[in-house]
Amino acid sequence: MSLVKRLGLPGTLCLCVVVVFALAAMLAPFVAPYAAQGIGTPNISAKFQPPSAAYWLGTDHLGRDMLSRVIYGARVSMTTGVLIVAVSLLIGLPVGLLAGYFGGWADEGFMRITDIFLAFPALLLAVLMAAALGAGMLNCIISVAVTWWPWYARLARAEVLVLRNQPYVEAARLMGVSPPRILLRHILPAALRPLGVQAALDVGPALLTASALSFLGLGVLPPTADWGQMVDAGRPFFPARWWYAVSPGVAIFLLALAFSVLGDALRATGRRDA
Amino acid sequence: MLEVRGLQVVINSDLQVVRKVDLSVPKGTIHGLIGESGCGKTMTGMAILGLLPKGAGLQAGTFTFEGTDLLSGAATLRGRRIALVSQDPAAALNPVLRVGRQMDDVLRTHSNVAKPARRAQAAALLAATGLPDPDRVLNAYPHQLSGGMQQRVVIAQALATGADFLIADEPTTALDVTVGAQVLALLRRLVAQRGLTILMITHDMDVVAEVCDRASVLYAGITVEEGPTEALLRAPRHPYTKALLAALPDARPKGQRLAALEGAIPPPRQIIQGCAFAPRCPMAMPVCATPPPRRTEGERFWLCHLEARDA
Amino acid sequence: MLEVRDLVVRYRRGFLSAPGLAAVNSVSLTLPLGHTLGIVGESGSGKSSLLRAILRLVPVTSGAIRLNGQDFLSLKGPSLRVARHGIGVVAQNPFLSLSPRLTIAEILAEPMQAAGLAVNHRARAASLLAQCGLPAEFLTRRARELSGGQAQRVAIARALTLSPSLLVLDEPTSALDVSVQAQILNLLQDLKQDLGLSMLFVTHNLKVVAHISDSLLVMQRGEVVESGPTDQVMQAPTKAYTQELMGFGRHALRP
Repeated sequence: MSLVKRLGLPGTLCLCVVVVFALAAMLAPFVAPYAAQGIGTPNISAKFQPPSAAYWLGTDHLGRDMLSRVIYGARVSMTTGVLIVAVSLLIGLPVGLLAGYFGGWADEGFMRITDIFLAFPALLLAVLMAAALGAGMLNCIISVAVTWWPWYARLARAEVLVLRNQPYVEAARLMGVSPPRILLRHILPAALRPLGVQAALDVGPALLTASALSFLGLGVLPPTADWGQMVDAGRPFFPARWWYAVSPGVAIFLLALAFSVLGDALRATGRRDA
Repeated sequence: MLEVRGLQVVINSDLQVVRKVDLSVPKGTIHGLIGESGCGKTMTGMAILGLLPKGAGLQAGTFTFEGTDLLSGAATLRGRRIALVSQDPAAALNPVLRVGRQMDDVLRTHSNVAKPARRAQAAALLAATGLPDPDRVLNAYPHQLSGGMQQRVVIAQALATGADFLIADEPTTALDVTVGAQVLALLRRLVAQRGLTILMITHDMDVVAEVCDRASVLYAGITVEEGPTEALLRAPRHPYTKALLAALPDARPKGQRLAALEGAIPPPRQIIQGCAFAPRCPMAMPVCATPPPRRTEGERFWLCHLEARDA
Repeated sequence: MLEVRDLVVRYRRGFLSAPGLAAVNSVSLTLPLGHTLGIVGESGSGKSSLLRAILRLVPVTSGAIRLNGQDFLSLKGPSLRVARHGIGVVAQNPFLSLSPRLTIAEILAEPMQAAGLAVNHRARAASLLAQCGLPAEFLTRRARELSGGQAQRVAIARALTLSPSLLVLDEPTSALDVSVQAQILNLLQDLKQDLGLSMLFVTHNLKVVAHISDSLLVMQRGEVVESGPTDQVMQAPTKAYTQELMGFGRHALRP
């Protein structure tokens, strides 16, 4: 079946957007017109140039090419977004699996812990964590992941509760298959699909949250290019030098939207297959 | 009342779900439509109701309901003359509305009497289906009723449309044996008292024996045999009918091997040249590669190359 | 080989609430080696609860279950897992009871791996399939590529993997067409003869179970209302309910 047929037109378009951003991020040194400026080298003589043939998206207050900065920023934003979700999954999935499969006290204990985390507004908790840990990309990832994993624990637990009563799981139990094996062979593969869809949906919000932290000065520090921090840096010059804040802002918007629509499209294919 | 000759339903121009169905259902009778899964019995019912899925092509020599051509006007009869009683009554009723409201919705679209009178009508219809305390049932939600009671409500709803022809698609399959027997008795009574006509779609020979006046056996979307119930079950003529009856667990003494039918029905994509059953038929002959003749005997017919005395 | 004494199963409604009505109320049964016992009942009769209690899938309130002389209810953890190897289970719907992700070879190898069986898994799987009337080509397929009858044969093959002495069948033919049902009943008949299996056959269909069982147990509302040798129960049922369960239909037409 063709990709367009499976994902639908919006889904396919968004997949293209994600792929373009990912390629740009990976190949940044080759595709960025001014790679050195992308990394942070100032170019004062050309500061605040409006978009032109030489600088497609204009330049910032240090004269650096915005397009190159945005492309280098994609590296940071995509890595943080994906890593936040990955770390959250790594914590949440095992917790949810164990709580759901064994039930009883394990379930009660784990779920009350997730309740505590879920009781806080996520962004506030992330800001507090980031403020306590200090700025930097790694700390930013940890801060957001800490607020994020309980959702996956919840979701994984709900999947397990349904799956563990499936006749084929029951059949495995009746044949004397050991619990770890049942979890790994029967329950985990079946739970991965809905969790994977949720993870794809969440990369957008995750990178938004990470950008928000950077915007507040709690995330990635200059001179490393980061979209959130770039929007913050461009804010004082808005609207006169609009391209400074708008270029990274549009990039955040596009990528977050693309991940959300793509996740939705994946969920729809899951339903159709089932 | 219903006359069908050479009914054919093709989905997406290559899936032949119904190949050649013949049916003749006189007024005031119950006609059984027997077949295993994939034989086209439900699709035949849907064609009569005008509820075929998108992309389905319909063809027939004759396809009439009391003079109305169903090839063009099936949808106009649905809900006025023809109603459906489906297999799962719990799915046929809306779980969040009281039974009274759901009965009233049907009555309101079919009559213009005032609300109190409609309530009395609804109660009378429920009583006619043998529900002991109609007022209590009207105030109940479907989940508060047992499966048998739910199926009676569905039947009462079908009657509320004013329909005199019911298509009952496996109406007892989801019910317990004892409850199913009561529902069948109810259908029989409705036919006697109200002059209803019923097309009973089923895979269960016992249901056929219990309530049907006549029955047809479908194989791969083809009516292979039709006749009065007793003759059909006592002395089947078509080898497929014979095989179906011989496969029943009470056809042989305890512990003996049953006459299992090997093989599978031809898939809907396959174009059938000769007899559809020939590849599985224990009595197949070379001539079976050609279309079988229609043989008749009294009020019954079947499609087979075998002469009646050989069969 | 299987002996159940005064088994009671009550489900708790909530964690702290009082136990509710008994789903299984003081049921006793004996299944000798090589025999087939049919348990018949309608929905709510307690037949499924009885079965699940015997398989230790629901907690037993009181009573005793002995399997091959062993107190089955006292087993826990690994020893329960080992004891379960002696019971093969076949469920109603093979498409639900066979994992949709695994190939037939993997499905059949699973019990062997669980039991640590030191044999060539693939060869054993092929011979099990052959015993259940399927060619070895099926090893590489997945359950959804099979017909209902073929899938149920795979489920039976899986139940036989560890050479159990008891086969528990939960409505094994209810989801199948009549002609396929006959094939499965014939297969079970053959297996019973060839392997000397004891079988517990649970169903709502009295006619199906009467064909294959040596003795019958009729349940209603959690209790046994009638039991005895199949011929006796079928020919001279003592309860009107059993008569009703025999159903309607063709026997009225019989000459």
